[in-house]
Amino acid sequence: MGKNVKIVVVDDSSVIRGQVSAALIAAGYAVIEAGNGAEGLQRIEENADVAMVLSDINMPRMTGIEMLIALKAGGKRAALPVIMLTTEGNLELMAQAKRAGAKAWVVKPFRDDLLVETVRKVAGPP
Amino acid sequence: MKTVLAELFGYLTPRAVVDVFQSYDVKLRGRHHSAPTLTLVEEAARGSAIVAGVVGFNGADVCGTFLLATTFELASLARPASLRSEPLSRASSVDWILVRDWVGELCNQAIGRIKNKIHRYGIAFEVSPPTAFSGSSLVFAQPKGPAANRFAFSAGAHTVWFCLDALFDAERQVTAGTEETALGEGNVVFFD
Repeated sequence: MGKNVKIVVVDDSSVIRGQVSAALIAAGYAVIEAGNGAEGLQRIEENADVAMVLSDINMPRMTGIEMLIALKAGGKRAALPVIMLTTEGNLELMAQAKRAGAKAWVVKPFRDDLLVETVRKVAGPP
Repeated sequence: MKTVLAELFGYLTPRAVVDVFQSYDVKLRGRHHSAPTLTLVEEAARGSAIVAGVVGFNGADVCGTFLLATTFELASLARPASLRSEPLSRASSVDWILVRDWVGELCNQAIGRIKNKIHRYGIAFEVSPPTAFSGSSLVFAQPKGPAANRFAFSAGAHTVWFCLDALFDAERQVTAGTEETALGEGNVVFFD
């Protein structure tokens, strides 16, 4: 388990986190969960071996876009790939995330197999 | 084709609710206009426990709230397929937390669908994170907006009730743009 590729899943819905985690764990990834952007940054800070972040946008305390911008602001984990997983389909917001350094965008609700395939393309195999 | 904003919300809102539940394999039927208290009191009288979620939204052209209420049992059934094999119990406080969380997320996904579709008409708004609550005798305040959408659907023995209570210029006309301005649900885009 310790050698598995580790993904931080950030979403304020515990059910969505459960769905994403179940899909990724079944595919062989290791998962760390966070309930908002601030917690996501904390989990990334605590786990030096995190390989990728999968984040919702609309969350309390700190949104996914705010977390993305903070992560990419020049810290030691600025190169960490981030996928946005959100109900938002707005192309302008997608462009903002792309400029901020996101690697991909998935619109909820999502199919588990497509999500795993997206993670595989961005983070590599588990 | 020009459409009045109120008509557009009236068209999109029930479809968004149906589509969200459909994406979790729950088919909603028999839409009828309904006051919330009546519907929910009927549900409670049948022994159902009610779970409700609400999100606020705010933009230059429209602001309001979207509220969705259903039973503990139907919300449990409408969870992601991979989690449905674990049954939830009303006797478990942890399961109540999960169901409230999920109804809030269903609200979020329904308003997200409306937001994505209405963006094509040049209407944009921000959505607050959802909140959810539950009880056996919930009573909701009357909508503030003159053109509130309040409907109930049936799903087996259960009910899904929603209210989109929006304030906007009811006479304002909008026209759909020719280009897509939002990505549809379930789509994936890679940026590299």
